[in-house]
Amino acid sequence: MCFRPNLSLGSRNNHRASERNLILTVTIMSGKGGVGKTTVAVSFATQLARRGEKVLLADLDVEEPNAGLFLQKQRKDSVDAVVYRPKWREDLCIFCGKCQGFCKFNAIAALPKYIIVFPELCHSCYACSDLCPASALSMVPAKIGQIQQYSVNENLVFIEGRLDIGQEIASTLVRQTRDKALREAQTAGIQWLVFDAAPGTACASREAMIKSDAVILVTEPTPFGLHDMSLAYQLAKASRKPCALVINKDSPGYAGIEKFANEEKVPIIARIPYNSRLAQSYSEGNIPVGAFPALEHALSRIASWLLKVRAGGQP
Amino acid sequence: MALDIGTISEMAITAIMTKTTMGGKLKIIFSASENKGKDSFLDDRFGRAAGFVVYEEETDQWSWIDNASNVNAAGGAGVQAGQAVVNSGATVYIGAQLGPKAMAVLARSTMKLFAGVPGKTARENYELFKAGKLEKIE
Ligand code: SF4
Ligand code: SF4
Repeated sequence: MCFRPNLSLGSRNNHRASERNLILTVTIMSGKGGVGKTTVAVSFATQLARRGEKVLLADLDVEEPNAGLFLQKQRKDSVDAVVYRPKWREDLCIFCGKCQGFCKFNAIAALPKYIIVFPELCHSCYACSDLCPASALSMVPAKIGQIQQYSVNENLVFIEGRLDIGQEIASTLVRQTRDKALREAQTAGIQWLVFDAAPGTACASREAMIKSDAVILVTEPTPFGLHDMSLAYQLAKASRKPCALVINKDSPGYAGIEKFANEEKVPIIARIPYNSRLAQSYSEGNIPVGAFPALEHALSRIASWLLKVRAGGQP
Repeated sequence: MALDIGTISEMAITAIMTKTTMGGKLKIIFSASENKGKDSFLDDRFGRAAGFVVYEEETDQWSWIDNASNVNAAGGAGVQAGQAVVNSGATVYIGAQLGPKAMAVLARSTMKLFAGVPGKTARENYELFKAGKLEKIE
C-alpha cells in the first residue's frame, strides 16, 4: 500500500523493452487549454474500451486534472504523493553559505546567521543535502498532492494526479503519476496507455512524452490555435517521438493548420467536425462516443495511425 | 566551538547595527535599470532588475552589481537577487517593492528597507532618503 516516491532516474530500468512493447503508449496534448485535448483523450480511451481493448487513461494535467469529470468511476486506491526536501538543522550548521551555490534552482538563501529553504522552488535534487559539509540539510518528506486510481469499467482504468494548492512544481507529481500508470499497465495487462498531458510548453509535458511511443497534438483551426499548437509542437519535436495533429472543432475556412502540417511534414490524422450537440454533451460532462459517427470515425483513425507507428516506425 | 563563532557573529551584527543607527557611514544599495552610477534610474522590479548600484558614503564611491543572469531566470529570481543584495554588505536598501520570497530573505538580514521613487535616479532617491522622505518597506 505504501507508495514509494521515485526519487532517482532509476525507473528507466523498471520496464524491460520486451515488456513495454505490448503496451501502446500515447501522449495527448495541446498548445493551450480549451481546444478539446481532454475530451479527445477521454473519448479515445472510452472508445477503445468499448471495443474490448484494455485501456488505462492517466490524467497528467496535475494542476488542473479534469478528465475524471467525464467518467463514471469507482475509486480503488488513493496515495499521497510525497517529495523529499531539505530541512535546515541550525544546531549542525557551520554557516559556510555554500548551500546557496549548490542549489541550481535558487531555492536556498544563505544569510549570515540563517539558512532559508524555499520549498516551492525545490526540485528535490539532493545536491545541497549531499554536499553540505556539516550534514545540516537532511531530506524530509512533504506531501505535494495525491494520486488516485479508479475503475471505470472492466476494460478501462483511470489514474489521476492532483497537485495540492500552493505547490508550484508539477513535474515531480507528473513523473510519479506517470510511473504509477506504467507500473499498473504492466500488471493489469493493459494494451493502450493514454496520457492526458498538461497543455502548453510546460516542461511537465515532457515527462509524459519521453515515456510514450507517440505524441498527438490536438488543435483547432484558428490562427490562435495554430500559434499555440506550433509552440507545443516544438516541444513534441524535441522529444523525437512520432507526432501527429488532430483538428478538433473542425470547420471549413481556415487553412493555416494544413500549411503548417505541410511545412513541418507532420500528418493531420483526424478531424473532429464542430457539432453543437457534441459541444453541449461535453459541457454536461458526457462523452457520447457512440452517438456521433464522425467522432467515432476520427477516433478510429487515431487508433490506426498509432498501430501503424508501432508496426513500422514513421507512418 | 560553535558557540564561539555564534557569539562573534552576534557581536559583529550588533556592531553594524550600532554603526548604522548611531549615524555611522552607510552603504546603500539601489535596484537599478542601468549601470550609470549615481545617475542610474531606479528599476521598479527587484528580482528581475537589470542590476544594483551601491553607494558607499565613506569613500563616496558608486559601484555596480549585475543581475542580468537573473532577468530571464525561470524561477527564484527574487531569492537570487535577495542573496546578491545581502552579499553586497549594504546596510540600507532603496528600490523596488519586494516580492514575498525576496522579502523573506531581506527580512532576515539586518538591512533597512525603503521603497524608492520610480522614475528618479539613485542620487535623487539618496537625497530623498537623507531628507527622511522615503517610506519603509515592511
Ligand atoms: S552548506 Fe550546510 S553548513 Fe554550510 S551554510 Fe549551508 S546548511 Fe550550513
Ligand atoms: S534539494 Fe536540490 S533543489 Fe532542493 S534545495 Fe537542495 S539543492 Fe535546491
